[in-house]
Amino acid sequence: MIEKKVKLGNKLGLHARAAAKLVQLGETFKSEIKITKDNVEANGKSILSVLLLAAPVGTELDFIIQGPDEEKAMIAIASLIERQFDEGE
Amino acid sequence: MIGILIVTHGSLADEIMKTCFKIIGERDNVGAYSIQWDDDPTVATRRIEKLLNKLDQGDGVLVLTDMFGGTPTNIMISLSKNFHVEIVTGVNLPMLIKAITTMNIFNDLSEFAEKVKQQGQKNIYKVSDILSMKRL
Repeated sequence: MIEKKVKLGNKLGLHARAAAKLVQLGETFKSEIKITKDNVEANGKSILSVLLLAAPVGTELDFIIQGPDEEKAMIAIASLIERQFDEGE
Repeated sequence: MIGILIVTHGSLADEIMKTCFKIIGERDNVGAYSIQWDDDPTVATRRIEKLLNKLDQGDGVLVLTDMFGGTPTNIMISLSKNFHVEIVTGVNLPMLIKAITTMNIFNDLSEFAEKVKQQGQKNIYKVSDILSMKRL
């Protein structure tokens, strides 16, 4: 199991399209992905669950990933967020 | 594979499908039919029949309508005698996202319709309840 805090830098935070990209990336990995913020835990493979986090710009999300490809998954997810979900902003 | 058809009054069906595709990307086997206010119901019925024939790949079609008792739902009820459909009313965006992103994992139309109905209901929130939960 690995855990990492990642800060959202894109203007709109974890909005619907960003959540969809995050989940679609997460679905390519076997590992279980949990995201927590303010006592709310989301399943990183469900868009509706991720949207419940209501995370605007500047929010720090705690990713907990467990499974055979956990390291690859964490690198890919952290990279997507660092690239600001490829939104070009 | 199960197909999905959205049928509503006004332009809602087309717009909610476009909005959903904007979020999750375009998908196959999903259709929309918006019944405009002055449309002839007989013409609308024939067009919906064509869409159902196209969308039914063998496992039936989940039809999401706007409101029980309205023309879109009533037309679908009349068509349900001749087509393998399940109708769920009260379409909303979370319901549609859930339906489209999970349509590949279901083979049983009735089970799929039940799940989509539950998700549509479950994802309606009073926002202040969620915010107070987060402050705990």
